[in-house]
Amino acid sequence: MLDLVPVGVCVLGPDGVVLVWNRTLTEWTGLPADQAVNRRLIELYPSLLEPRYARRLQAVFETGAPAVLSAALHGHFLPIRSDDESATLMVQETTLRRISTDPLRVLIAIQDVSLAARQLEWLRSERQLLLDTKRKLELANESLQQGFALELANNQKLQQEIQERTRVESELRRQTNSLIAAKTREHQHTQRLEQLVRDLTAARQQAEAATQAKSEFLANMSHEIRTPMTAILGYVDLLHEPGVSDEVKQQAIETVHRNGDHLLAIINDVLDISKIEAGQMTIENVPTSIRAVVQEVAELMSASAADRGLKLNVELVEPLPHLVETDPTRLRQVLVNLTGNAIKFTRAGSVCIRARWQNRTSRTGLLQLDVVDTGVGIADEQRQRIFQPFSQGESHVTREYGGTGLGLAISRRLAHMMGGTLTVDSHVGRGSTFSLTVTCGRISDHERRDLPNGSSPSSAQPQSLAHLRVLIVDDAPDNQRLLAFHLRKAGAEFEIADNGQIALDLIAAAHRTAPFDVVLMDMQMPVLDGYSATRQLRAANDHTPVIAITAHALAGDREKCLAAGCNEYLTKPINRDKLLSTIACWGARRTARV
Amino acid sequence: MTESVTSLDPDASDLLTELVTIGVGRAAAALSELVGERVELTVPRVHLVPLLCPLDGARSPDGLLTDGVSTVVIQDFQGTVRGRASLAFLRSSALALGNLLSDSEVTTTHVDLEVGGILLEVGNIVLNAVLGSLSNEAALTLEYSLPHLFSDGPVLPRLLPQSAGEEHLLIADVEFVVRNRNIAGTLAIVFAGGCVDLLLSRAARRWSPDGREEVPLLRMTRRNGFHDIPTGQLPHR
Repeated sequence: MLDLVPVGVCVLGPDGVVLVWNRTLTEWTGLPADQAVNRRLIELYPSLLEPRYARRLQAVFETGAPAVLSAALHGHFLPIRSDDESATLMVQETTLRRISTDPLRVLIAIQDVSLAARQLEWLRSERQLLLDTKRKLELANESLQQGFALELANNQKLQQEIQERTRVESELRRQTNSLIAAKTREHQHTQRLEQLVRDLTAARQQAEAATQAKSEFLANMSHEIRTPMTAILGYVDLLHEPGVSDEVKQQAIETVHRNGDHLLAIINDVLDISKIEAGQMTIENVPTSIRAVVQEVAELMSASAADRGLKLNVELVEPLPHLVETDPTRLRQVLVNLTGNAIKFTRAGSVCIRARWQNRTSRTGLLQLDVVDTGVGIADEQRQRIFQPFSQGESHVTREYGGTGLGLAISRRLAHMMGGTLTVDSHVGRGSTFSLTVTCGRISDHERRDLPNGSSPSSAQPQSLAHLRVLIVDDAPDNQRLLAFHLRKAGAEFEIADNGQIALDLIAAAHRTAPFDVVLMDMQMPVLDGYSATRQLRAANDHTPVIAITAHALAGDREKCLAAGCNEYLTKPINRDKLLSTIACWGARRTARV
Repeated sequence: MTESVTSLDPDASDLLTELVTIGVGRAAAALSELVGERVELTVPRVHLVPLLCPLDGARSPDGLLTDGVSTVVIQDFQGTVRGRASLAFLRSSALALGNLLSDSEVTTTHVDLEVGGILLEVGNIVLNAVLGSLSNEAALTLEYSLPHLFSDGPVLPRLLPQSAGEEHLLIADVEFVVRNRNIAGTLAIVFAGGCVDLLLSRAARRWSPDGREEVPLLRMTRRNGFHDIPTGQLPHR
């Protein structure tokens, strides 16, 4: 039966003699039972003499206490190879037990646990591998965590760097934007500065041009003034020559008069342009007869046209209103200028003044006055320049045709002030057409009938000054004589004072005998000027009419005189008719009041 | 906690301690010879309690016998006296001792075949030595069963004998010293009724100067509550 169990079994008797050796042991050891039995086991396996085996066997024999020999501590009880080809010994667990004392018997049971040992070894190695792997994983995880921590730190650092870089970029962007904005502003400033420079350059050029024009103008004025002045003084000297015939004297007087008129025209033009530029020129709106104005100008200029062998025609395109509201003086001035130019620049042919009317509204209409000549014409490039002040088409024009170069500039500005335009259509060699348009108020027939007789300024006539007493106050003997001459011819009585103080004395004295009806007061005088004298007169409650006569024809002079107490204002040179009519007017009021 | 209800006569206690110490000394020599290095075994004190008495934790290091998972080698004996002897370890101690005595480079966290074999052999050697010492010194005749290893659950239930007679439990702390490591185990031997008295009396006789004096060594003092505990039931702390 022992042969059937897969356990190596042997039974020892006294002295360790083998009594039983089962088949399993035979198979394992290759030792047949008949060779093992009756032999001491330590003879068969001397390794059992080692104390760790021997003592245990001895104890079992002596005490009967069983012994268990583990595979771990002993490996093998008998050195049995696992198989024939392997040097590995069978791993065994051995149990030693005394099964009988009489006779003494010890049973040895040997179990082959090689497979279990290998499995255990494998399991342990696997487990160790797992542990190593786990440890490696833990280390890796730790490293990863450290790496992650490091990476995290790096990330945080990177984040900080990114944030810092973002901040720096933002700051850079902001500064760049500021720079761009500054650059833009600088560019704009530069542009403005460049524009300013251009404007200043243009202004300077204009100023230089204006200065140049004014210099040229002054040169022209000098020439224009000197020319008539030379004629006047020359012919005046001629009049003083003895033996001059009456005929020559008469020609000389006419020449002096003509040059004097020209000189006056120049001065008037200068004053007009000055007033216009100073904004002091005012435009009246009074009932005016277009026909009368056109006819007056035609009559005025007819002599000049005739002198040049030209026909001066008038064309009134009907229907023309009888009266319109406009400034007849300025209208006449422009028309005279245009007609004079047309005559001046036309060598042959004719000059035509054409008037036409267009209703615009129930209260207004457009008056168009064309001056058409067959003269030299004006080149295209000169058309705009001729309207600029202080300039003429060409400098030689002045020398050839005379004139101040202000006429057209004055005329165009007056046209604008009257609500119209002044344009030119011209062809060189064929003639020019200057067209003046003026916006006028319409006057119905009913309104026309209500107008007082003789209200047209152009029809005013000087009255006789008989029985009027006039005081001439002027420090210039020439003016004293001229005024005296006109007053004497008009039948007035007069006295002369050389300055304001004498005038006040004479006026005061006259009140006791024969008071003056009118005082002609020069404003610039020594001792006591006209302003002070008039103020003192008014301060003394003396209301004797005072007519200021001054060479100060500039803007503001009239108001200055009136503010001082003067009743009227006349400018030198004296227009005889206006002088006499003004004296007559104020004299009549004085007489009526008295 | 309930105090022990009996106490051993000091002389008897000393005697038992001496007998056990002799045994473990032999076991230490055998183990040292077996593993090829020095193994020390000490038994500071032996306690003897009636088995029906509630066990004191002080006599069961770390609650080894009553609590938790432990590893124990059990070997029955019979003859002049009879009973069941055991050497128990806490799981951690069992593994530590097995790994120390093993020549394997790989340590284990389980009582596997190798560690189990080592512990079984160690227990076999220690129990054989202790029982052999008792047997020799008390001139007893004993027969032993093969040792068995258990590594699941408390020790005490496995020590309980089938009979219901008055029995005693010898408990001794055993300290193994291997490679400068101290590993604690517990030696527990259940003696059937009257066996301890016989053991002590025979041992006393052999140890007496004239070899004939019989000293009544076993004098135990009973305390209240001892008999209230039903026979065969384990007390719990």
